[in-house]
Amino acid sequence: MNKTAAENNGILPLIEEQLLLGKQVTFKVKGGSMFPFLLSDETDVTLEKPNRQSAKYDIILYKTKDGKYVLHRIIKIRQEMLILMGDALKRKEQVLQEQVIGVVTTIKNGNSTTSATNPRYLRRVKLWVGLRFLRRGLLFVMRHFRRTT
Amino acid sequence: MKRKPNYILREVAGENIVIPVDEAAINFNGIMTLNSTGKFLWNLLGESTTPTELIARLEESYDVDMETATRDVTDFLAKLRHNKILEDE
Repeated sequence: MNKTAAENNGILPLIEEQLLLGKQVTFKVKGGSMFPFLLSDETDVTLEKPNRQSAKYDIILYKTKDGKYVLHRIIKIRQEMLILMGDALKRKEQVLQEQVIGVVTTIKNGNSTTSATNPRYLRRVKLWVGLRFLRRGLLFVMRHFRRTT
Repeated sequence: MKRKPNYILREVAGENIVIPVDEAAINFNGIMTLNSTGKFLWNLLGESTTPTELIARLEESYDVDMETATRDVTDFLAKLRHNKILEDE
């Protein structure tokens, strides 16, 4: 469950290259760390090269110093440092703007496509991030609910 | 026939992936990947060629019988046509 949302994806270097060329790329999320917003092996995300400074609540693709790719959400910005967390995790990550490769612009779950700027989606994200101190309990209930429906 | 020039083959993590060069948006879910035979044929299709020539080269390089080579080439060309990557001259 603690896998990062872009793990096991050998084509990520190619995705990085295409983003750098200014292309829009779509791929399927791997790993459950962005549950409940991104579902492993189900959700398609579309990313672009960032054309602005990263903002709180953006989901970004970044490369760690040891070359791993991670797709997580910005929960805070402290001067030059972006503080990230997977939606299903409780561990914070510190990322520099220069490590950001792409930003999620669209999320597609089944037939439903949501823009990352959709106000209804953003309200849910803000609530989820705001209630992160309750995350363990909320995740338990949500996963149980998913299994039984 | 030959393949269109606006596609490139990239090898990443042991996979041969066909990337469209001109498209502004790439969906990696539907992207075409090639096995080693596919890669061999892909490289030959960089120059103008014929199915008969491809079958002969495959037989020779991969030590397969004509029936297998014919089936592999036919399937591969159908895959390229389906993805609109092949052009007839």
